[in-house]
Amino acid sequence: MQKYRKILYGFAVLAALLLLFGGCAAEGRSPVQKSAVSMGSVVTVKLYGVNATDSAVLADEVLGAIADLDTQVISKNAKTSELANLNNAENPEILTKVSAELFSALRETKEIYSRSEGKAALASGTLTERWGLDTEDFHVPSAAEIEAAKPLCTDETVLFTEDGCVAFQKGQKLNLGSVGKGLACDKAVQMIAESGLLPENGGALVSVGGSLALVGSPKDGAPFTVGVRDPKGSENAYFATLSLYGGFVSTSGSYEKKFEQDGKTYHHLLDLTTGYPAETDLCAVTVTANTGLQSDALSTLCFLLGEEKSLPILQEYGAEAIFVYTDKTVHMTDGIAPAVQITDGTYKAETV
Amino acid sequence: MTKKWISRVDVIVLAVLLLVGLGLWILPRVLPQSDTLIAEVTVGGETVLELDLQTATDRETYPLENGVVLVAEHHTVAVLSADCPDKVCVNTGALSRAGEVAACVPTGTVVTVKGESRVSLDGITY
Repeated sequence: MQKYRKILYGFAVLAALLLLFGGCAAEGRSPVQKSAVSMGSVVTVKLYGVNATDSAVLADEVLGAIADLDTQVISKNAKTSELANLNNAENPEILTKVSAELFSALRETKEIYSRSEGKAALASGTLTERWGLDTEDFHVPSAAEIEAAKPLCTDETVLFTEDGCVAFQKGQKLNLGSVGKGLACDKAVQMIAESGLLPENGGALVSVGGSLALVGSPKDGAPFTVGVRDPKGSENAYFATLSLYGGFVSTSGSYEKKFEQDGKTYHHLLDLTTGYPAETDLCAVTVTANTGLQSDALSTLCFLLGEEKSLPILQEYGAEAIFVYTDKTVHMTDGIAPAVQITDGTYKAETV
Repeated sequence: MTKKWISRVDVIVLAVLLLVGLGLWILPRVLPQSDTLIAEVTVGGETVLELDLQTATDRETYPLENGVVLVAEHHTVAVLSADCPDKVCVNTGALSRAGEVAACVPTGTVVTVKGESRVSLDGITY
């Protein structure tokens, strides 16, 4: 009988221990999170379900890759940037071979903005430069400067060849400023996937200045809960939440990057047909799309074009959008409406 | 009749062990989860300061080498002042919830509130 008793006690202790440790292990995993400043904004990498050591290494790699994407490839200012050098070439009319990464970003940006009725373009750099948007030296350019810059902001003279070459007119400046964050999201997702470190039930969330990439799940197959910033509130205030299973999210809004001159407020989303910040009763547009670049470019496009003209383009790209107006009314495309919960009662959803 | 293979004492001991095990498993789920709240301050990606907001009650300032000054009080942290042109960081105001961030881009300073706060988002789009 003693033997049985010992075995019984043994099992009981084992059971108790298992419950103890099982309980501990089942507690919610906090993601490993690392942030850095890059592309003029805060970049955050969050990894769920990956052990701490691997997470730290992967997060650092992703942050480093995003910084490199900026300084080595797409920055308009960094001396080491491929795009900056392309823009400063003596004779840009001569076809120049560029890296595959830069080529595909330039070409797709031109393609998306070709739907903008001239309000947005890949070659917007000449005008954004006049407004000081690239160097954070915001000021209103003179009417003469604007008139001189406008004709140079056309993509009709930006040419691509099938073997990866680009050519454009002297005086033009190619600009990936409005898609850079989305591009960084794409890069991050690619690296995380290639690392092979995400387990079946793991996840990742990367934020590049508010453009997000969502992979997997933060916990047990649940969707991510993402806040949509309140255009009229402080940095951390949000007026709605989105429940999203993977994908890319970007927001364009007039509330960011504003400046005042002579008593008037100017935002940074230029309408290239006027040369001035777009006049609209939209204050923000959030887009979910299949790639980071698309979400970033489309959010800018929607803001400039307005809701009605954006809808068919969104549909073509399989993207969804939330349009927020200055009077706090909110319109949503059908695909995203079920995922949206407006948490600020002063904002009203309207079905169109 | 042979002795029972399990006596009353055995049952009591087993029951106690089981209850202890169950208790240890239930306890974390039933007790109100303590919100751990730590403000992590990084400059250029390197952590320079960590503040426990749970214990931050009376006002205390933390000047950083790069000219950014932080202030913690009433379980919140904020950027009090900074040597940057646009002061976006200062205007962000007090952070109190996990996930909230204040950043001074020109100086590369990022303040992130981390913790197991139950009301927290995975991210914000802006």
